[in-house]
Amino acid sequence: MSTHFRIKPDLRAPAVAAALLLGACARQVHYEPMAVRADQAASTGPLSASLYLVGDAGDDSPGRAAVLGHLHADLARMESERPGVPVVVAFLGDNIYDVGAREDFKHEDFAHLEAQVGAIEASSVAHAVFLPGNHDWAKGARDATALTAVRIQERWLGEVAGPERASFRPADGCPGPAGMDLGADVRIVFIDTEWLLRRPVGTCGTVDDFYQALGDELEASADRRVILAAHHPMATGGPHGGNIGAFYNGPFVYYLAVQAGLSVQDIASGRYGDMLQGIRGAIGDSGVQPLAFVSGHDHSLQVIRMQGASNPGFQLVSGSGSKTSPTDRVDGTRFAAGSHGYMRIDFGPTDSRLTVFAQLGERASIRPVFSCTLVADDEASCPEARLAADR
Amino acid sequence: MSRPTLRTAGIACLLFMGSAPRPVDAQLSDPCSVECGLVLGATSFVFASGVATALGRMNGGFTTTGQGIASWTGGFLVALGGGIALAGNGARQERAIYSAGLGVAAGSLLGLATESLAGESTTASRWAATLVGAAAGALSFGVYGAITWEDEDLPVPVASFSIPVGF
Repeated sequence: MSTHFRIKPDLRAPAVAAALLLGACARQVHYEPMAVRADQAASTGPLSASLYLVGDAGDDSPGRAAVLGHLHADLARMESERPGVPVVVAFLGDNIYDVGAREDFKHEDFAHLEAQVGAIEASSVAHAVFLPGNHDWAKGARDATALTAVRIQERWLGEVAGPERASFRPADGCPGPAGMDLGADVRIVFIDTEWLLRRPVGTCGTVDDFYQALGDELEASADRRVILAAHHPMATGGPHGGNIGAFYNGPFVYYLAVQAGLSVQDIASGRYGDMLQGIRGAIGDSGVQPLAFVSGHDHSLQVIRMQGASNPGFQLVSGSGSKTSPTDRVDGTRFAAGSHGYMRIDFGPTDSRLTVFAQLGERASIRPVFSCTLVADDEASCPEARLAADR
Repeated sequence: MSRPTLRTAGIACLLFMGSAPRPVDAQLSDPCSVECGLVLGATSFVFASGVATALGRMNGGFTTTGQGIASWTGGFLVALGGGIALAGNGARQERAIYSAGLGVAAGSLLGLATESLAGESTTASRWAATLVGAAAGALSFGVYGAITWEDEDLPVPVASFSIPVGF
C-alpha cells in the first residue's frame, strides 16, 4: 500500500471542474457613470443642509487617503460656495480596523480617528458623527471586551475634537436612538445595530425598549425628513447579503457560513432578520417613513429603492471609505459600484438630492458618478442608472 | 486575519504537525487508502459545517468569532477522529467512511427536500437544512456502517434513525 497521499490522474479533472464550478467569483454589477457636477445641488434651489456619508473608513489604505482627500476638498468648496449651510459628516461605523480601539495600541488606533476628523477641518461648520460598527465592537470579541473598545473610541473622539466638531452617537455603548437635527427640515436618527445584534447585558434597556423608543423618535420627527443611520444595512448586494465567492476568506467555510446565516453579521442570520423586522415594525407603527436608511458594512456604494410603507424610501450603502468589495444588483438597485467613495445628500426646502462620488478604475480619481432626487413615496424618483453595455 | 484566529490556527497546526510525518496507514488501514482518506476529509468538512450551522442558527447566529471557530473545529475533529479511530480494522473503517459519505448525500437531499416542502423557507434556511441534514446523514450512516461492518452482504447501508430538520 502506498505510504503517501497521491491524487490519481483520473481524479484531477473532476477535482479541477468542481473547483471551477464551486469557486465562482462574487458577482459585480457595472453601471455607466453619469455626467454629474460636484455642485449639482446648487442648481436645484437654495441649499438648507448637507449630509455626507462615509463608511468603513478605519483602514489606513490608499483608497481612504483618496476618499478623505476628496471629502476635504468638497467640504472646502462647500465652505466657499455655501458658507454657513449646516453640514454633518456621518462616519457609518468600522472607524477603526480591525478590532476597534485598544489602549495598548493607542498610537496606531488613535491615528485612524485623527485622519477621519482631519477631513472635516476644511469646513468651519461641519460636524462629524461617528457611529460604531462591528469592528468598533472589537470584531467578534466577547461583550465585555467589545463594550470597552466602544467606550475607548468615544473617549478618544473627545480628545481628537471637541464636542462642537465631533460626537459619538449613540453614546456609551447603548443602541440609541440618538436624534440630531440637521437644519430646519431634516432629522438624523443614529442607531447602533451591532448592539441590536449582540444584545449585551447591561444598563441600556431591552431590545423591545429600543424599538419602542425608535417608534417614538420617528413619531416626534413627523414634520421633518428623517434619515436613519446605522452600520448594518437593511438590504445589500454585497458579501453580507450572500454575494461572495466560494473561496472568499478560505475555501468554502466562510461561503457556507454566509449562505446558511451562521454569523449575526450577515443578513441571512436569524438575529439580523429579527432586527430588520423590529426596525420595520417601529417604522410601520410610527407611520413615519424615513427618507433613507444609510449604512456601511459592505464595502461598496449602493443606492437601493425600498418597497413598502414599513421600509425607508431608500437604502444607501456607503461603506467603501477605505476598503472595497463586489456588489451585485438586488431588487430596487438604482446604482452600485464596488469602488472607493462616499455619498452626499443635499437638502433643499423640499427636495433631497443624492450624489455618489466614486473612484471608478484603480488609477482614476474620485468624481461624482451618480446623482438623483430622493423622494420616499414617489416610485419614479431616482431612476436606475444605465448598465454598462460591455459587461 | 485577526490575531485570535491566527493563534487558533497556529495551535491547531502544532497539534497536527507536532510529530514527525507518519505513513498513511498509521491512520488508515488497508483496504482504506487514499480515496477513502479523501472521503473522510470531505465528510468531516461537511459534518463540521453542519454542526456549526445547527449550533449557530439555534441562537440566531454566532456573535463572536470564537463561537464559530470552536463549533466548526470541534465538529471537524470529532468526525476526523471518529474515522481515524477505526484504523485498527481497515474493512470496518472503509465501510464506515464510505457509509458516512453516502449519508452526506442522502442527508443533504433529505434536509433540502424537507425544508423546501415545509412552509416558508428562505435561501439561508434551505442551505442550513441541507448542511444539517448532511451532518445528520454522515453521523447516522457512518455509525451504522461501523457497527454493521461484518454484514458484508448488505449492499447499501440504511439509516437506523433520522433527525427531523425544521428551520
